[in-house]
Amino acid sequence: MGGRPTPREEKHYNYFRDYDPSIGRFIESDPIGLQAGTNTYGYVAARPIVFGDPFGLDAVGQAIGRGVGAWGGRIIGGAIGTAIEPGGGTAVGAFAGGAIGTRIGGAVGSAIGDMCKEQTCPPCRLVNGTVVPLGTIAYRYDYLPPHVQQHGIYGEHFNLYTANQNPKNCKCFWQDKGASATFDPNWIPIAPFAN
Amino acid sequence: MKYRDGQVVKVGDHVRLWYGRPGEKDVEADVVCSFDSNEFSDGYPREEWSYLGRGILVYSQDAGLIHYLQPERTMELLYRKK
Repeated sequence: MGGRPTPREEKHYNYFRDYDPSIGRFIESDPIGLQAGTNTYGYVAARPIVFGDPFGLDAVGQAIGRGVGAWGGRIIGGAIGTAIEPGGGTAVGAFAGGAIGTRIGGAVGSAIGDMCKEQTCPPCRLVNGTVVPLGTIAYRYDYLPPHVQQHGIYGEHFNLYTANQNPKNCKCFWQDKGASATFDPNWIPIAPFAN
Repeated sequence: MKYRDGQVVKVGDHVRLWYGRPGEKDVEADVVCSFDSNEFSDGYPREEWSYLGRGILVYSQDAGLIHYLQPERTMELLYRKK
């Protein structure tokens, strides 16, 4: 795996898109696009926390639950109050029922909102413990005789892989990203993820 | 996806990904998903991995999980699970 880099002065080349070594990132969007799911986020969203609660579903669920609970509580409480003491009991029962319903509905709505929240993944780590931000480039030195061409490059080159994370199960993986004739010191040797 | 010899890559295939450097062993892997043929091995459920869309997913002890849209130049079928 990996190997000592062999920097060359040749024109930089990448299989799918151009790479800007000054920022350690590709400068074009991934041509695979949505066909490959996270291929688009894999680079632009190089963030350790890939999912949170962007739509505030917890708060929304709680608000809806409180509203529904209050409404239902007032009706039920009012009915109970009426049964106990027609007239005055209706208002007292509606008030008490509304308060109780608001609390119960809020709790239920919040719980439902929690279930709808997207998953928060831990950062990707290599087996040696190194944290690898999404979008990090790993390389593998590939020797080829000078007259043999691969990825549009003659001879030796670096095969590249991008760090990615499955948002459905948080598993980290590499995605093959073509090759480069030149080396970037920001790259890391390809290695297995611990997660 | 196909190997260089024309055989179709299948889930369960054990492959050589690339040659080791002098004195090192070759890097081998198992094909765990083939999105092109909609095949998924145990431990890699369709509902979790099919979003990758196309290509294959391999697992190597030396390099981890790798998603390929095209095979490595050096990828070769070593043996196929019966």
